[in-house]
Amino acid sequence: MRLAVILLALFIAAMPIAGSAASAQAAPQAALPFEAESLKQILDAHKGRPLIVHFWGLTCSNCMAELTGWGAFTRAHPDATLVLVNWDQRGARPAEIGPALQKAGLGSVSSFALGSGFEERLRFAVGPDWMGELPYTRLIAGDGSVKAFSGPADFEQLGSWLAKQSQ
Amino acid sequence: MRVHTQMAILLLAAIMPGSGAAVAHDATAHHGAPAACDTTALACASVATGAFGPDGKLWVTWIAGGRVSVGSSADLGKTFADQVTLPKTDLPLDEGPDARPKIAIGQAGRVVVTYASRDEKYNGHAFIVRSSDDGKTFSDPQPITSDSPSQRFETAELDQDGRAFVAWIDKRNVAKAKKDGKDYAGAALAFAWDDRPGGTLQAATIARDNSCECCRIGVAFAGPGRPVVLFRNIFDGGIRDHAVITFADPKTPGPLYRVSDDDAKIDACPHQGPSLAIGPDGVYHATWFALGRKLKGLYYAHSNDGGKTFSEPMRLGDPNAQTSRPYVLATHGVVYLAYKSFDGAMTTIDLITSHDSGKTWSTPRSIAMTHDASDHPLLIASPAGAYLSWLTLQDGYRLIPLEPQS
Repeated sequence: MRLAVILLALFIAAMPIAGSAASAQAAPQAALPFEAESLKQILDAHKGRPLIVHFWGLTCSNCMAELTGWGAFTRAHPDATLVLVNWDQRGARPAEIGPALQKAGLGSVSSFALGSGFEERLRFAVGPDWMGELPYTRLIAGDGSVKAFSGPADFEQLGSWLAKQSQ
Repeated sequence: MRVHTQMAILLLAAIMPGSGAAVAHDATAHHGAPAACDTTALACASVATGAFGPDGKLWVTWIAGGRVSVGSSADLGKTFADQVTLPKTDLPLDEGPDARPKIAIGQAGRVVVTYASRDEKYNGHAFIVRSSDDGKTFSDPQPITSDSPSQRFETAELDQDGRAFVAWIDKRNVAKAKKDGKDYAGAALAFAWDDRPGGTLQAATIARDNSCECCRIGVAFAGPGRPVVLFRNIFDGGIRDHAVITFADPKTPGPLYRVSDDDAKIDACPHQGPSLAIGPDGVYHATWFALGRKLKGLYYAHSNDGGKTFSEPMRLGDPNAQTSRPYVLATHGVVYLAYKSFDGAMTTIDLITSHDSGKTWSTPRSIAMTHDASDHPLLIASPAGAYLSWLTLQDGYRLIPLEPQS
């Protein structure tokens, strides 16, 4: 188990940052399982740098509608670090995650999918006040402070947040 | 990939509790999940919905092994008899967070079950099956409507005369708008009635355009032929607040009234629909999850004037404990309200009660808990009492009496 965690952390750290044109051609990558300790590992791997963690679902029409928007955002902000977490629950179709992300131009973005069945526990580890609504996004500043919002992103605002982080 | 495999093994281990296949019985009627749970047995269920018949028999419908099954219990869930597994659907069953098969029991051995499957585009295809011999045999599944690309969150209730009223979230007008190149927010609230008790559903009517598309709806009766539907509506400006419609007569949905000004201007799927109960005194009891700029969290309100106006929303639970899935029941002179909370390790079902039609409430009392995944808590009434109907991974299906109350 410990080895698995270390391997997972290494894997996350080694993951390419959003949007390189070359890797967009590659076969869709499989999403990694998102477990209770995953968010902490992601945060540790990107410590001191701004990070955007976006939770979405194939079953959520509002999420699917803005997915290409996220693709455009990563192309416009190649230095931004985005992590995507698919939060489909029962009846999830993990095989469709990779192709959906690739279609939206997010094929090379670090991608996770809801792990074991105890959704409440995994959600609590993300944010005790997150009620599971999708889309849901957490913005983690370099100093570790967190802003979260539900619903579609305002990409202009997101861009300003990012610009502020690098000042 | 290696990590992936290890995680998969861990995941498998996590969903296989150590308890044996034998059905365990105790005071609260647990049914332990067997080791390899891929059968259609209740012990393997992912969701289960309970309801009592007029004779006090408990009925449960559940999804297990990719099928919908129905069973009944004459001893408050200790033992189940006459399990009937319904025909396999062409498409996988709808297992979205707020979806479940539903069951309604009438007089003279009438049982109605509804459920939905989902296609690759996540459109729902809802079906109704009926029994007229006390659940021994069921009719072939019938689609609840034709000419509709998607139906979800179907809810059937039986009127006093035994006719089924079915309401659901329908996407026929979404498809129409798309074809005409027009925008259409959300989906629509649709309904249909049986042509006669135990007959077939008549053509569907759209009661209201632009409802939220991803949440369960609440249905109760204000009187014979007068269903009431509580649902997440989309008001002007894309505000997803709750609304109630009371039918003037079986064919005529009355005006829409807003339950609460949550100011939920958000294009997000909350996957959390409301719950509605109407007491013999005619008071409407509504509980819902708000995701608004004014209200956020779980709330309760009641209406003494047939849904026109509602009381000031009362906040439930702790917003930092994932308080969710509220359910309300008005029976035997008491209003019961239960919801689910999670403290980081344990899921608890808390209950509050009112003996004055929702004006004042007891302090919350924990009535059940679990340390793993669980279904939504449901409250159901028998002719003799009120119960929590709850499915958990650790303990299987549980029927827990809500009495004694302080």
